[in-house]
Amino acid sequence: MQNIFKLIFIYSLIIFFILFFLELVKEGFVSNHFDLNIVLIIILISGLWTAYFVKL
Amino acid sequence: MRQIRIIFIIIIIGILIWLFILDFVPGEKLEINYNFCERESMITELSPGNRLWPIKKINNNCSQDIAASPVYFDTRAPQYFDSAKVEIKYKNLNNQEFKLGPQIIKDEWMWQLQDVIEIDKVGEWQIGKAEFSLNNIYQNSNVMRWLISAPTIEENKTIIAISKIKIIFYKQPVNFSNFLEQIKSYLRKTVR
Repeated sequence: MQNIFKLIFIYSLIIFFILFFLELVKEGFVSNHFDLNIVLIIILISGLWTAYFVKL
Repeated sequence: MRQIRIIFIIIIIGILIWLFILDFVPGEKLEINYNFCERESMITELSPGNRLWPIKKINNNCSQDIAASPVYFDTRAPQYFDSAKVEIKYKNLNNQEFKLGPQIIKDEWMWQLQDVIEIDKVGEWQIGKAEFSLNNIYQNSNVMRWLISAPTIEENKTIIAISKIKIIFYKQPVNFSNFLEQIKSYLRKTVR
């Protein structure tokens, strides 16, 4: 389960940076159709979950 | 685990393709609606604020009164379009002169203004429309500026209330013969 959340965290971070870059290149490409905050919330939740279950 | 990775990659590619299709507008029209209750990403609120009353919400119907002219709003048009049809729900009880239109050249005081023609009435609200050819309109920027003109309202101490703005942009749908041309114009708009 921890590994799945780790993967979600990594891939949502990747998609966030890709979409952020595309929005910078063409204003409105993402924000006209999709709220990037949704990805940020996924990053936050999956990141917290991964950090909580990390083996010390 | 590898299968899950593949699923994530497919999701990422799917999101990118979906966004590209929405932004490229392969069909013949793009519709933008603004009802004054919720912000829309493709159309801004009216401005400047000192010529407008705050947005009112009565029975889930939001509206804004224009106290002085002109006022502006911007639309984000991701593609090049040939024409536009604007439908506007408004209240112009004193029959003041009422026009709107897009800016012809960016940062220049040149507008393609058209009279808003009343086509219907819903209660005390009027439905008006105006049609524009966009062939001479500057479209190299993502942002298209629009002006609403009602030059006599301030002098006559009256207002025009607006409750809904619907803009439909039209272009040729993508087909085999114009696919490359539309891709080129889309990229040209992206690069600028």
